[in-house]
Amino acid sequence: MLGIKNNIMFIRHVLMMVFSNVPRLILSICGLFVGLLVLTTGNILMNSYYDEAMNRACEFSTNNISVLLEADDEFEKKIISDIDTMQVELKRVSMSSESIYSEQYSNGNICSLNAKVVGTTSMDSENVLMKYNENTTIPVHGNLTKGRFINQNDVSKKNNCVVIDEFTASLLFGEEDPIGKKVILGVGNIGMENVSDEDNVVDDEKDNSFTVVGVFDNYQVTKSNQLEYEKFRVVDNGNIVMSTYIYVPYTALDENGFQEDAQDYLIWHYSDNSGYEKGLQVLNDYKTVYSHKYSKFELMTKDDMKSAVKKELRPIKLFMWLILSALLIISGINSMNTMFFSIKERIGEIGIKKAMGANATDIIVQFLMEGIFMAYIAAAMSLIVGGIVAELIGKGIQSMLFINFKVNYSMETVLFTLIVAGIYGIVFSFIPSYYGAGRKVADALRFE
Amino acid sequence: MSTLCVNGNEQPVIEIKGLRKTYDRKRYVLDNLELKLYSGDMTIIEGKSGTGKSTLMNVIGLLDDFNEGTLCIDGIEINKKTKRKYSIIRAQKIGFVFQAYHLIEAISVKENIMLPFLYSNINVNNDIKQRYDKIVTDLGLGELENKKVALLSGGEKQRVAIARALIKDPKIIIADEPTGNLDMENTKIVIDVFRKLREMGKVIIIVTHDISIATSDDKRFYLKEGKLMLC
Ligand SMILES: Nc1ncnc2c1ncn2[C@@H]1O[C@H](COP(=O)(O)OP(=O)(O)O)[C@@H](O)[C@H]1O
Ligand SMILES: [Mg+2]
Repeated sequence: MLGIKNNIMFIRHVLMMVFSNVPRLILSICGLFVGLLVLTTGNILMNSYYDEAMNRACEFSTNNISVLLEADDEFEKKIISDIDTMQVELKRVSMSSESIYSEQYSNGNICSLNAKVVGTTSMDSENVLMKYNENTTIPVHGNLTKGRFINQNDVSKKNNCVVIDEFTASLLFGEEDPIGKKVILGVGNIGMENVSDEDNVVDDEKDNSFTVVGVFDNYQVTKSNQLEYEKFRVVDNGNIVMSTYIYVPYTALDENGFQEDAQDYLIWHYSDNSGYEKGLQVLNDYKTVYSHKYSKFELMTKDDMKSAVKKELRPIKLFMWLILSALLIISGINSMNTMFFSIKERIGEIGIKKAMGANATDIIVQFLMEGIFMAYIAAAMSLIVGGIVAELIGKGIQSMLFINFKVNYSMETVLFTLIVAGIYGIVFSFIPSYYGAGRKVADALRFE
Repeated sequence: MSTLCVNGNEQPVIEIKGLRKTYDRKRYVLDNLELKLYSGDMTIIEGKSGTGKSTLMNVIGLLDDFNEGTLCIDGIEINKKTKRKYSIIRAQKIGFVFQAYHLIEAISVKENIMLPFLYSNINVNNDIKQRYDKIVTDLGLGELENKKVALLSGGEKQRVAIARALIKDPKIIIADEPTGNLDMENTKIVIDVFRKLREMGKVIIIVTHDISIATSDDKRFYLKEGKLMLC
């Protein structure tokens, strides 16, 4: 601060001037508050939405490479034995869904759960599949909560065992321990009674039930079905069909005739980065050579997933930013207006101070300090109120629209609001105070 | 013609030569004005309303610029266009008393009196605290110290303004119609203060309509057609 040694006295004086006119203070803060509140709330919601989508993408286990392959068994065997045999795991997803739960409520609505049976070579690595959106299925991490995963023994003995997710377990077996219970495929299929006996003869030959050996949890997998189920219970219009994946030994799938129309996911797990880099290199080479030969040869890594999500969200983010910046500018100009008239009203005070030895810088510094002070009061208010409003809106979104939405009040949001408030305080008080400080003293005093 | 004041070989505190000032570039409010004031001079400037007395005070007080001529304050030559750096001279050498008081109403008497220190490098030390106490006692403001200026009477306000003008012990005191809004009793108090200051060797310039203020010791000027004439 130029020429001001008596800083504490000066700061005290500035604060006194700020509080000397309470209506003016409140009005100025309100102007700043409205802008900053919209910004903070919008920013929290936008970030939460973004984070949620990103979190889903980030469930994709690190250092995994997933390949969606539609090729003949020969080629599949070749690629498995060629590239890091120890790391690869096959997940064969049956294209058709099997109903594993169906219940008719008293109002006639039917709730059913369809499962795609996934044959796996092993599940030691705790990878499960998640439908990210209509077109994308990604391998994500599953936490074992009961029992065990499918192991080599199950595969070699072709055991009829199954691993299911928590939601499925709770829907099928309620509070009871699901381990040892049977999951029966084709339960309560509408029209099943109408199937002719001749057809059923064939069906009888295959065992339609699998014994539960393990239950896993994945927040996203469980949450999405839970919300859908809640929506069905609350909104109560029509039937609902939910879907999930259940996991059986690859060989058991073979035995049960799910082979024909299956989609194969080959998943390579790497524990180290260099192995991952090499594996990715080799797989990419394979892809260039074979991709035109087979109808599907899709390679995906966590980075691919993240960038796909980012790309998907970019237009939304851009649009939100446009709205927010427009609002910001409007409320900024509004604040400047308030500041400008406040300074015009205080030209006499400026004249007095200049007559007492203040220079233009002293005057500008005073009004900048006032502006920043008020902006930070407004910022603190909008951080508190904005957090509450965002939380309420988030709750509303979750309970009314049944979209998984967790409000995320991050350090970034706080920092962003504080930075914008600082800029607000500086920019929108600098311009009017520059005008005020530039008046000739004699002219300024005439205002009084 | 304008009058030159000679007072021995001493250097004048204020020296004005050929000063011209116009607002509209048509009429010169101050026209070839000359003035020399020395330490211990009490100067009273009279004149009809609108003749440029306030303009002259503003120019001398470095609150406004001028168009032609020279102005020296305590040996420092001032440029025609008042620039930011003159705020320092203003802060160090000049105390102002205005007819309209020009106090900050929202803050207390004490804070108004100490206001000049917000804009200077001078630390508020014991000397200044003693000076403050003396000024406040002399002007009878002791009991009003913590009162908001907005709550004071006109006479009290003008005494606060004088205290503020004196707190930095300036060489020059410029008072533009200081008694214009005061009753007889307060006028007497204010003028007595000025007389005491004069004895302390300050240069005092008072603009007034009230001829009763002046004594034979004072330099009395009449401002007419942009020039100062000795009465
Ligand atoms: N800022 C200004 N702009 C234009 N004219 C001014 C300004 N200030 C004063 N004047 C004019 O200059 C003349 C002298 O004014 P002033 O110095 O206030 O007179 P006094 O103090 O003697 O009554 C008046 O005619 C007034 O209208
Ligand atoms: Mg006047």
